[in-house]
Formats: sequence, C-alpha cells, structure tokens
Amino acid sequence: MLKNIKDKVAIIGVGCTKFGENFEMSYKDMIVQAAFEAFNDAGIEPRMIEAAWLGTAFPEMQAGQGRSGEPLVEALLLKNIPVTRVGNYCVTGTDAFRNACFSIASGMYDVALVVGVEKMRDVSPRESLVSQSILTGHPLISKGLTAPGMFALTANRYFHEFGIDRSYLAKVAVKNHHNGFLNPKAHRRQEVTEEEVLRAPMVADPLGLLDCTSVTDGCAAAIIARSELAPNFRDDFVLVKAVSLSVDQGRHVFFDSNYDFVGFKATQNAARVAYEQAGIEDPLREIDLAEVHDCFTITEIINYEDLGFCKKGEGGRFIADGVSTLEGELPVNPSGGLKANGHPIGATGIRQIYEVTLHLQGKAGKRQVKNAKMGLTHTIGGAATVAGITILGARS
Amino acid sequence: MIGITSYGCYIPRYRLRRDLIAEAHGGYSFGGEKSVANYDEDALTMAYQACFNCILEKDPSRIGGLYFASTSSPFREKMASPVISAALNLSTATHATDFAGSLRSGANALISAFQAVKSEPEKEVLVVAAENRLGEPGSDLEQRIGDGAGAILVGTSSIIASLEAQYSISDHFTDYWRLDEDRYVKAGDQKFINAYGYEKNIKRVVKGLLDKHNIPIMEITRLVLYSPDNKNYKKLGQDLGFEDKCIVQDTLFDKIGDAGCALSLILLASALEEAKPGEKVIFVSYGDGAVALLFEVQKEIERFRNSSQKRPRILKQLGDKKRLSNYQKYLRFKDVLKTTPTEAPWSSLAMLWNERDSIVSFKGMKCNNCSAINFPIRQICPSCRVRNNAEKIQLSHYGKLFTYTHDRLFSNPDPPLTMVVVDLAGGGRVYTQMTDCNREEVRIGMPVCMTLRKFHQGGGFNNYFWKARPIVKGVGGENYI
Repeated sequence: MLKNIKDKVAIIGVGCTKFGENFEMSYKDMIVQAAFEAFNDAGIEPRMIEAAWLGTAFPEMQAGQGRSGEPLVEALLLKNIPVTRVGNYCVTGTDAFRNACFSIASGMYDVALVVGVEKMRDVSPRESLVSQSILTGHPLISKGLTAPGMFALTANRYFHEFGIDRSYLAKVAVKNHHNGFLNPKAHRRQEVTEEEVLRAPMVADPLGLLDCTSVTDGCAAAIIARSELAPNFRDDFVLVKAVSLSVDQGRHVFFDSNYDFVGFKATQNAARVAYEQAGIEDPLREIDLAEVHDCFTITEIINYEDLGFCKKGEGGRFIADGVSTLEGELPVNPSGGLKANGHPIGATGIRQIYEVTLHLQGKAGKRQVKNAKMGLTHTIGGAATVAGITILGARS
Repeated sequence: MIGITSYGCYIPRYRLRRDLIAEAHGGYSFGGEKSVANYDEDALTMAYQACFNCILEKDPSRIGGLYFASTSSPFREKMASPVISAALNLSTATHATDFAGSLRSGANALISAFQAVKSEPEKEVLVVAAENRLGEPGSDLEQRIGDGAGAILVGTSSIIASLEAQYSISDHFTDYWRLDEDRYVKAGDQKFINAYGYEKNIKRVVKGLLDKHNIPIMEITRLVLYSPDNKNYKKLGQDLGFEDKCIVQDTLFDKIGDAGCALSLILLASALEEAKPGEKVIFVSYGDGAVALLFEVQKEIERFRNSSQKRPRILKQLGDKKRLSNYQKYLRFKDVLKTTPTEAPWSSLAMLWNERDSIVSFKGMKCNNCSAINFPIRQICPSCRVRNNAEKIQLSHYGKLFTYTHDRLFSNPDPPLTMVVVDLAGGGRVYTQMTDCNREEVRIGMPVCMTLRKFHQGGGFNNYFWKARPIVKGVGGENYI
C-alpha cells in the first residue's frame, strides 16, 4: 500500500510558454507550444503519453475551454487516452500534478502528461477575475470580496499584530521584479524600486498595484514517468519527493471567530505532510530554493512563516535581511514568482515545477541557484484555504 | 388610555448644501443642507433603521402590527413592511401593512395604529414613515426634498404621550404627485398650492380639532407642523391664534429638508425628545387634506428619556453628518447620473428564501453541544462538528472591527468599497461591506452597528443584507459593545 510517494515518480521533461499578454496565441496554441517543448525535452513522441491531466481554473473566462480535458486532446491530438480536467482555484496546477503522480506511483501508467493553462487576456483585465467576483458567488454573503481584497484583510491585521508596514511588502516586490528581469519568460521584466511600489495606485488598502500579480496568459507542461524507467529517458531526471494538498474550511473562514488572518492553515498542513514525506526537518537548511505563491506581496511574507522558513511574525525580517534573495540562504521565487510572471491561474503550479526542475538540472541561466539539490513549490487559493506543495529533488 | 410608547428616527449621514445644487443650475438657493440617502439606502432600509432605533429596549413580542408609510417605496407592487418586519425579527403573526401615496400617509398609519390598539390593547403597533423622494434636476423640489424616516410605537401601557383627540379632513386638492411612470415628484404652482392647499387645510383641520373637542387654544403648548419649506409655517402658527409661548417645532428644513410623509413623524419624535410632562401638543400632517392629533405628554416620558441613554437622539444624528463635496456625487447616489452599466450579480429568490433567517433576520446559530456562536446558519457546527444540534439566535447588531480593507476593484457608486470583518458583541463574526464611512475613520477595533442595506438588483429584484456602519461617539450604541 502506497503511503509515501517519495522517489516513486520522476520528471523527465518540462516546457513553458512565455507568460504575458499572449494575444497572438490561443488557449490551444499555448498548449501545443508548452507540451512540445516538454516532449522535446523528454525526447519522446506524443503517442507515448498514456494519461494526461489538464489544469484550468476558470473555463468561463475563456469560452468554456477547460470545462473538461477535451481541449488538451483537440490541441495535441492525443486521442483515446484518459484526460482529466482539474480545477482547484490557484492550486489547480499543483493539484493536477499531484493527481498525475498518484497515477504513475500506483503503477497504472508509465508516462503521463500534465498541462496547466489559462488564457485570461481574451477579455480586459476587469472583465476577467474582477467581474467574476462581482457577478458570481453567493449573491449577498461575502459580496464585495475580490482577490486583493481578501489578502488586504490579512495585511492590515498583520501590520496591527507585528508592527511592520508597507515598506516590507515593497521589498518583496523589488526582489521578485529583479528576478523577473533575469527570466526571459516572465511577463514583467522591469525592475522596480521600493519608492515606486509605495507610490503605485492603491488597489485594496494597503495593497497597491505593484503589490499585486498581473492578469496574464500562460501555459506550462510536465512529463512524468515511473522513476525506475526515468534513466531510459535522461540522466538528470528530477525526483518527486513529496506532493500534498490541504483544504481549510473555505470562504467561511472569514466568519470563524478563531481565525487570526495572519497564518494560513492550508499551507501549514500541506507543508507538514510534504516535509514528512520528503524527510525534511529543517526547511531553511534543507531546501535550496522555493517557488511560493506570491499573488500579493503580503502572501509571500505569510508563506515564509507558514512553510516553516522562519517563525510567525518574523516574515518581515526574513525579507528585510535578504534571506530570500537569489544570493540569500533560501532563494524564494528565483523566477520572479507570480509578481513578475503573472498568474495564469491553472498554469502557475506547473510553471513553478518547471522552474525548480531547471534549477535542479543546472539550466536556469542568469538566475541559477547554486548547488540546487532540493526545491519546493507552493500554491494557495480560495480564501487562502486551499494549498498544494510539491518537493522535488535532484537525482543523487 | 392609548398613546405613544416610544419613538425613533433615522436621518442618513450624508448632506448636500443647497448652494451646490443652485451653483450647478445657476438659480436661487434655498440655503441650508438637505439629507441624502446613501446609494445603498431606500425607504425600506431607512424605515428599518428608524424602527430599530424606536424599539431598542422594547419587548418585540408585544408588537402586533408594523405599518410602513411612504410615497417612495422601492416597490410599486409588493409591500415593504413584511421585509422590515422580518429584518426586525418580529413575529410572522405581526400585521404588516403599507400605507402609500400621500404626504399624510404617516399620519394615516398613526390613526389606524391607534384604532388597532384600541381593539387589541395587549398589542403595540409600530408605525414608520420613510422617504427617498427625488425632485427633477434644476427644480425647486430637488433642493427642498430631504431623505429620512421616523417611527412611533403606539400602545396602551407605559404611555409617554396620550392621544386625546383627532380630526381629519380629506381633500382631492392636487399639489404634489407622481403618475404611475413618473420618477420625479411633480408640483403645482407654489403660491397657489401654499394658499389653497396647505394653509387652507391646515387652518381647517386645526380649527376643526379645537372646535369639535372644545379645546381652549391657549392650553396648547406645542405645535408640530409639517412644512414643505422654511417660509410659511411659523406665520401659520400665529395666524391660527396660538399664543406666543406656544412652541412651533422647528421643521429642520436647513438640516433635513422636506422629507414627505416621514417629516411629520420625524418632527413628532423630535418634539417628544424635548417636551415636558403636562404639555399639550397638536400634531398636524398635511396632504390630500390634513390630519390633526392632540397629545398630552405624560410623566412617564421623563423615565423613558432617562432610561434610553443608548437611543440615537435626533439632534445627535443631525450632528453626525458627512457633507457630499459636490452635486455630482448626489446625482450618482440617486442614479440620475448614469455611468457604464455594471451587470447585476447572479441571484436567486429560492436561495435567498432558503437562507432568510441569516440573510434577512440576521440570525446565527448557537451550538447546544459547544455553545459556539456562528454565522451564517449551517447544518454542522463549524466549531465542534456536531450536526443539527443548534438553536437559531438573534445576533447582536453591535460589534468591533477585526480587520478591513478599502477595495477599488469592486464596482460601486462611491469607491472605494470598504470590506470589514466584524466581531459581534456576545459572539459571532461577519465579513461584509461597510457603509457611510470615510477611509480615514476606519481602524481595527472601531465600534460598528449592523444595518440593513440594498446590495444590488441581481435577478431583477432588490437584494437586501447587512452592512457595518460606524457608531459615532455620542450618537448612541457604543455602550452595547
């Protein structure tokens, strides 16, 4: 009986489109580009894929594409294999990968494809996620909720409890924009100063425009295989050390008198499970890089604490002391994170896996983290109530 | 004895200086300010708040009737009173009914309420009049009209002002009206309607009351008189023969304006806030004729006023105001200045009905197993996970902010939209919108009161729910937290 997935599954190929306003690529065009980059990376023909997972979070924003796994087949002509569509808010990509890993580890399939994709810019930014908040959901309970609005509640409470201010949040944006500048596939490639971040127009107090990720198109793909078979494909395959998912109670968390707003149980629980699987006891020392969910700058600071990189309340110091920069002890979001890459929702989880894989294979170019042997990916969604984590390791 | 047992008012927080209206149109200014309902308010929500203020510390189980009066109900068909009744958590056996169509509808409701308690003396009847009228841009009415609501509780015990006499005349005279499709209130020639409508009917009804009941005019100590403006009513008191010492209640035109049928009840409430025991007060309401009622203020009023320190006083409410900085804001609130239409959110009558205890009556659940209080009501207790073992309870309307934000993405006519997490006194937490607030005043720990507001028109109907509203020091309510 499989109780731990560690070292059972290997990543044998990855691919990723440019993330940005890809007006010249359709939803399916992006799938083709990312998937074929992965096929070439793995050195395999598409017909070798035995099962596939498609991660798209909000099909309503893209003409209904992604309501089922069908568009993956339409794009790649992978006929007559099982394709599952996964939707789990911002954790979609991570969760698609997680489920694909189980299918390999169970022995049911030898090789599987995971694609995360979201085409958000077929409509204006307001007409995508913002209008979803306004038009859908319960007509009255939590009406007024938006993504930045939710994390702004956390930021104001965090400032109140731990005494930091917006300048700490700005440091996260500066770091990630700097990393994005080094990442040819990032959406936002300009560096920013702390001053610019603080002066940017307000979106949801205290989060300004540069504290927020962008509305972006993108697609990323990963090909996984049973680890015993991996050497047949390449020498520098990457091993899956852990996958985890945790769901805290959902939107009702804002109505829970015991909720403190400054820590996300979903991340904490997913981290505990993942560290246990991977055998990690001291994340700060044992993890070499982490791609975490910085949909907003405050979220990255909370993530440091929830992932156990530092204690509760010390997230501000973590960024201020430079621990999470490329040169620091634990580089966080060397790709530039969601801040610089944008957040095509279903794609993000797979882009993070793509990024960590590159570093573990020594292929991350100017932003390469030195001696990267163990990496972590993390996504969180809903009212910060769904979180997913993967831990990937270089072959030893 | 039958009479008034309590009173309450609600004046919206926003004000518009009449000079700003006059500047926009290049005409005469009536001076002073008018009260302006927020974009999320209407006659129903204002009536709710006036009722809430009126029945604070009263026993709701004694209320057997709720009479809602307005010429500007949000519904042309469908009553507002059952919604208000549900929001106040009154029994479904309460006789809820609407009185529509006239400037004297509030007084009509009052007369009917007195008759009702006469036949069912163990019950009380709550009368509320509320107005959210609109004058055509550039018209005199636009300047004069103000928004607000007044509520009077009527019964047979603990009476603060007894009903001593009444007189009513009916007149088909047309002065202010709206046809079925009209949005703006129409008015006839001012000089003509003042002389032949207003003054004539007021004189007839007061004289009628005094003569029919043989009341010596010098015994009257106070005259509460509806007036559409600042000019005529003071002189009318003299013309009618009242002594100089008879107080003519200030119609608050400079601070509220012509609040239609609500004004009479608001002025009656403001009179009762100051009147001394033994006073004989004539209350006159005008419209399609006129109504006059004679009240005698009882000693009970002193005990009543002292015991209700927490009740928002009308004068304090008038002081708690926020000036709209420009006329355009007012036009946006009233939906006269149209912007790119935003689609209405998805809604469902069935869903709102299914969740009505939480949504309309602001009830939460108290778990019989672990005593935790949670909102909204669910099958399984979120604290101990026991299923179907909780009581439905009325949550406190008072609380403090745990956290907040000001959101500039979510469309609304008065951005930013403030979203707050409120910890309610006695238990329960709610995440919702905040209204009637400035960005600068919002802070963690701030005391708030939950109020009923119109959120949107999803599904083509009015979706009402609860927002947090700042409690201003001195206005009342902060002692409840």
